[in-house]
Amino acid sequence: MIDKGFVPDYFIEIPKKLNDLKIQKLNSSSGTIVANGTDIYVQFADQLSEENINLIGEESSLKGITFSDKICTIGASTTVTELLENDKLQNIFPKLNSFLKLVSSQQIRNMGTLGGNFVNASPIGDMSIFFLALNSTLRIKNKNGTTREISFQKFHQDYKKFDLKEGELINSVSFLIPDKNTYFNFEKVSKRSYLDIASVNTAIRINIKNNRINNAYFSLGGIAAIPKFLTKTNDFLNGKIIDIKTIKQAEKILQSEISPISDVRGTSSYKRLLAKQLFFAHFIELFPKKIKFQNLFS
Amino acid sequence: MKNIDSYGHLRGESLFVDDIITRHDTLFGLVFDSPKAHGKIISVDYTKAEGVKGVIKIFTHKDILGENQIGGIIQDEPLFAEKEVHFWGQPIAFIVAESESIAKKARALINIEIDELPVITTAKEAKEKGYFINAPRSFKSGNTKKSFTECYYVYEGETFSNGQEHLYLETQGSYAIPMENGNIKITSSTQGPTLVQKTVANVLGVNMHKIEVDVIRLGGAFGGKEDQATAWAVMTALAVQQLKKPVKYILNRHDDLRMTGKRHPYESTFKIGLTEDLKIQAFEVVFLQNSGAAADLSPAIAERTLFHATNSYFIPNVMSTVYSCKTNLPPNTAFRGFGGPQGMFVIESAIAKAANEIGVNKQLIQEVNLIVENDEFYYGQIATQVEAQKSWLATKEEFNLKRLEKEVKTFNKENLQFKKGISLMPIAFGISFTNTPMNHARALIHIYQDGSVGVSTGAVEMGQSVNTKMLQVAYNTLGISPSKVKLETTNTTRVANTSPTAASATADLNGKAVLKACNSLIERLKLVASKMLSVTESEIIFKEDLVFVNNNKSDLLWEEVVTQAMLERVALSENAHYATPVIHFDKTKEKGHPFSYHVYGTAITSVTVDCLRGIYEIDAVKIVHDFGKSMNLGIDVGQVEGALAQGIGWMTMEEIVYGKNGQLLSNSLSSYKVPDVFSVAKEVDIIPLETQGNDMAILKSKAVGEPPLMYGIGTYFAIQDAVAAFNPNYKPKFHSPFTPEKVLISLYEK
Repeated sequence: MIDKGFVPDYFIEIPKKLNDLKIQKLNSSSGTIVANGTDIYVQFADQLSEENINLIGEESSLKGITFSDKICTIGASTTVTELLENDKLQNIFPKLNSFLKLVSSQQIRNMGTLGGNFVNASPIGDMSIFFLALNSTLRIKNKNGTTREISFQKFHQDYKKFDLKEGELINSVSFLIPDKNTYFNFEKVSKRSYLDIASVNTAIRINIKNNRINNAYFSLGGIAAIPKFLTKTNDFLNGKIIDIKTIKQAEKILQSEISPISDVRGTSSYKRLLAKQLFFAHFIELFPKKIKFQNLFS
Repeated sequence: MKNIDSYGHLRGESLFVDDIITRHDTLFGLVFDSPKAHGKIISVDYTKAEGVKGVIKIFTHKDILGENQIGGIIQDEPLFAEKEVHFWGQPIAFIVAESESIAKKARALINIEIDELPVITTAKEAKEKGYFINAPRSFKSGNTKKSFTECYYVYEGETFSNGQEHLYLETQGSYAIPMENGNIKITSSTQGPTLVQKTVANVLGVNMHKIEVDVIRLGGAFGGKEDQATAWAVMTALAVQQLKKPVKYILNRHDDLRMTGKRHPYESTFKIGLTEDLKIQAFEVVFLQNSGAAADLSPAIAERTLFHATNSYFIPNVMSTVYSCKTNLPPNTAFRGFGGPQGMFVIESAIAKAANEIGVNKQLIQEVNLIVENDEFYYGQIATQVEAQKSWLATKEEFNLKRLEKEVKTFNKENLQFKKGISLMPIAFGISFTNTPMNHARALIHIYQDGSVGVSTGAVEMGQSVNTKMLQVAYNTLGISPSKVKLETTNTTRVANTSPTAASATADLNGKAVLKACNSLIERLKLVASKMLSVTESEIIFKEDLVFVNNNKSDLLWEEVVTQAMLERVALSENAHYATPVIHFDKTKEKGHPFSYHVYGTAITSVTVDCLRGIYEIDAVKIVHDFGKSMNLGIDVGQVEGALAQGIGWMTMEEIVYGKNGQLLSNSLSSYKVPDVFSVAKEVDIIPLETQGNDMAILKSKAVGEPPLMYGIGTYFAIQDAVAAFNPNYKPKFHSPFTPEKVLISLYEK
């Protein structure tokens, strides 16, 4: 590359230069926790450049994607790209690629971590919405190494408030691996299709047993103060047959569970309409034989 | 020829303001700006900020030795607010410190108390309250009142087009250094070096010759650095004047977004009248321009809106009025198209409205009303070398519109969830500064004694490749290889009293000056060479670094002629001045011949709307464009593609949002979106229209910077076409941008 003039000569020196760098010892366990900083540095770059920080991005205990019999466990410092590059996850979610390409940009996917996305606690956090619908469990560790587990549904409490006490850190997120009777879909609409933040995003996981919904986990972002797990809608869907009537009724319940506000990403009435459309989109995508666009909108 | 900057850009070696190696004693500036959109300043407490270690001085209006005034057309804009603030982000003070981060810390410690006054953010509200920048202006032809009574169809409607953030990759910035005897040299990221020089001199209370402004190149500008690069340059110069040390200020993205003006939003109303056979007989339009808190370039932009109110159509009776409405937003400013796109959006909307009401295809109305040779534009210019119909018909033919339309129809019949839409967008854009006195330029050419050449002009390179075009003109005229020619920086000491690089006219104006200068030099060198070869001057031409006699290569090298010219004490430098002939405009009558020529073209846009999600993709934009005789098709096609993408962005996703309190809400790149590679058209086809070119254009190669932006307007109407195909109840609205939100709501409106 250098010989052909594609990159300048100094490229050959880069590894050596990096090695020679005397990294400032700003890393301290008492500092602000930073995984890879894709969000926190957008918000607090000036402040953080002078403070101690606690870099956890490279900690091996927070890394890794493991599979047991039925459970998949993903370390909190796993990046979106690492999810994308995992063959087993690709098998579990055949459309993983198209889902995750809607999430931020290549550069941020390479750096942004799941744990970071959860504690950023944005009501439209793509990964929060994704893992909420998987009915995930969070494993949280405190400074002494003691761990506790909570349902991800309970993690977000109010706008930017979440269940993490002083000294605690999300260790991993785990979920039941979908079997062949389980369907999963992710939808996101933003002003710009790629490299944008959602107006509304949503995911659903549906398990079918004897032609009925055995359980449904439906999450919706951008319509409340937190990434929302729609308990009532889910409860309603359980035990139902998938048909036009059911999902039209479910959509009414959905509307009663959300309270979108008007902001730069859309008016509240738009977000309500979008919530409806994307809820329907899940079923059109997952059950194309049963649920057809024309039957919902005619 | 490739853009001469491509190699440097690719390797990151091209220099911008922020790349200049700073003097060791350089200080850094930062603006403290108003946190309210309108109010009386009760007090500002700088004591804490001044106490921060490393803060050198905080400059306010009190430190100005000259005039606290940076307004151009109208003197209505202070550099620093004194007693009142009129927009959120209005500069109040300039903090100078040893580093940027120190300045930031200090800024956070400034306490300001403002007694808030009512905030106006929309043009309509300003008009109701009678707040204007200047008096309204009207153009008219024929008699619309009488004509409407004779029309078979008459429709009225209203439109809105939003602003647009320039989003130049390189933010605003300036670096000023003290020279001897109180002189100051400023490197600025500006489109208007002379404006910077003049304004700095005025604020500092010195003469213009004390101030040298140098521009290497800009990392994009799009009009955003025509007027609005000035304030930052003035502030750095003001600090240099008093501190006698270099001062640098490069705005960070957030500050830049918050403090600078954008494309003007317009609220407009129209009335259109047609005959039974769809000839537009009368058109009335009132434009409410949201000018922001100060004039900036608003009056000139308003004027161009009027010039383009009829786009490429001939309408015998027209009455157009524009109000520049004063609001509490940052002063809105030049943006590629300069009011033209806002004008064209309204006439296209009026035609769409009429087509919808009559129940005919919009294209039918467009086609029968295209301007033809010797028609009169409604401001008095007789249309000549008109390419409107030719480009329209070529577009239909080259891209087989009939087949495309059939495909759309079939697709829409077969699909329910997805609908396609199609539109045609013709353009006619006038080239020249509408303010006639600005249409001039100069070039200074030095032939050095070794035969190499330096070219200075008033043109500012900002990514549009004007330097490449200047180089082409120079080396072709001199008959030497491009490697012998260097484009110098744009500098007020070498080329003075320049007009800004704007109005798409820069290559024409400066290119003509380069041509003139090179021709003068060649005449002198011909005389030298003719004596050397004992032939007559008329037998000589310079080509391929050699002298040709009667078109036959001689052995005489360019360098040898230059050496001989030196010995004979022949002048090897030339300064040429070009002023556009013919053009004139009488503002008392609002009639004249303001443009050297028009640029024409037609675009077909096709889109697919996902009627479930309300999102859309642009399938293709197919264009036949009037380049004249393009002198560099690669560069010109690049300009069309870039302008198209920017036009599409303006019409689809770029949504400027201000709160009722005047705060910019789309204040970061996470909330303001420009088209990326996925959201521009999947296919862009551009075919040059075959024409003779126009002699008023440089080497018959027509101006290309702004006109193609308006092809983007076609996207709005293509989306509208698709929405209408899905929802028979949809009542067409003309409220851009057509965001996914508006699409979804339109798809399901009852």
